[in-house]
Amino acid sequence: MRSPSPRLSKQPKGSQMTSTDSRRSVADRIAEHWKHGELVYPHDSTGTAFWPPSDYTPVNGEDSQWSTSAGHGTVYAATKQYSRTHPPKHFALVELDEGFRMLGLLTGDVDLDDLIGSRVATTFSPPDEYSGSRHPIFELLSEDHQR
Amino acid sequence: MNLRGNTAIVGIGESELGEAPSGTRPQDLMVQASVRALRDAGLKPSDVDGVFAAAGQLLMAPLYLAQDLGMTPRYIDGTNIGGSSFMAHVNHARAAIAAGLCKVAVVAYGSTARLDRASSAPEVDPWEKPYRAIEPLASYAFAASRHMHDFGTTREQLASVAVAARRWAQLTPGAWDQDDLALEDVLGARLVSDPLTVRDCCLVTDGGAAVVMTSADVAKGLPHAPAYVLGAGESSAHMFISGMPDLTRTPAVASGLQAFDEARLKPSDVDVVQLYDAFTITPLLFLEDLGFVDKGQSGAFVADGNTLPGGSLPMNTNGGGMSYGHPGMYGLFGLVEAVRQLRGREGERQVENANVALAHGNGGLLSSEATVLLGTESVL
Repeated sequence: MRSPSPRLSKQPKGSQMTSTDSRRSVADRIAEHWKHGELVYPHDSTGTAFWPPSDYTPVNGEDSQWSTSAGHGTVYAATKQYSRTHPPKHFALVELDEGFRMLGLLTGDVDLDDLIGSRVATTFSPPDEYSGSRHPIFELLSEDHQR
Repeated sequence: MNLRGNTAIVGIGESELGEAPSGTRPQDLMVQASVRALRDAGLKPSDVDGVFAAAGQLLMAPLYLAQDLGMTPRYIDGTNIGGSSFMAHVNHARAAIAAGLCKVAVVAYGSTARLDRASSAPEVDPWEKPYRAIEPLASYAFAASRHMHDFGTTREQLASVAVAARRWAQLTPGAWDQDDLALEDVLGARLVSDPLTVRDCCLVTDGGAAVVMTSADVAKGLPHAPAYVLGAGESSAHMFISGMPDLTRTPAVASGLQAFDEARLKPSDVDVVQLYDAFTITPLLFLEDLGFVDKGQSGAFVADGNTLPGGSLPMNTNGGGMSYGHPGMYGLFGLVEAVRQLRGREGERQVENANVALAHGNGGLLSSEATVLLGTESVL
């Protein structure tokens, strides 16, 4: 019997998901971390973080290393989107303290006029009813917690 | 190899614009525009041996064109980097012509974005999908928010871009929206993605466009004065907005430098500009990144009336994507208008002594930028 190709073999249970692993997609590995409330991010050997995520680092093309962010960051850009059917939502590009930027939903006592530069912390959405998936949400910190 | 001036745009065409009849397909408008461009150039489909095309709704756009016009190209380029694709096609076509890989190139586009309510948004990043932000709107609103924060750009200044576009459209036969538009109309319109109102966003129309290119030598024997390609450049550094290093500085800095260096020109040499205007923030960024004004100064520059008819830098002289038409990938319409201005017969909206024209395209989420500098024989 031929041994299965490593790319097609099943993921062993309890394996280290933060390392680059060609047997599981980047998306699946990150989704797994998000389910556990962990904001993982890739970086190179010097610690330079980047996003959107990939198993290979920009510029140098090294294998990415993965770490978990503390989830604290600063609003870099923001918009409030209106819909005819839903209440307005605030979206932000957040610069995490580890040095990468993510697009996300912003919650809390939000006033668009002075959002840029505000400090946020990361929480995670409740598990999706069917898939159990969760995703990060940025919560605006109260003024006491602002830098 | 120096490519300055060794190719030219010799034919231009647009399909019927606005709202296409039911059942119209994107390729129908692309073919109609291409036939019109070829007739304008005094050429036939059988003269074409280089096909360059892109369309948001057609994965293999060049093949539709070759099929419907019975062309058998020996050079095919279906580069699709969004609205700037066609400036990139011009850049690629001149290299192919100079290298002898083709002699006559058609660059073409068609879209039924309005008829089919086709989205012009690129694919969604899987890590952004759960939030359901409306794109490309959110990304451009982010850029506007950051520009306002860093440089004090105001909503009034953004709105002045839409007002200026409308003034030009009112002088342009066939422009989709020619109704009067005042600053208050833009500011008071429905907010869609704060700070942008629905009037800060481009139109959604149907339409196709095409240009025909050939070598400078061949161009001299054709009916219209050639619009020589003096320089071109293209650049990109990200796909999704989270990967854009600085939201107030686009890859147009690089594409513009490349085009100006090659053309041996500087921004003050340009008589008329067509800058991609999907949202009011986009031409502001490009005025700065292409070197027409210092960083942060574009809002005041437009609000002061410099880009209006009779202003110091006529911009988007057909009304642009805000008022003339925007089928999702606008770039080729900017090239067509640049050539029209160089030909010098545009009546009320004609810019006097237009000898150097710049057309700049943008694609994705400020992701791809491409710049073309065109000129009349007098600046060769």
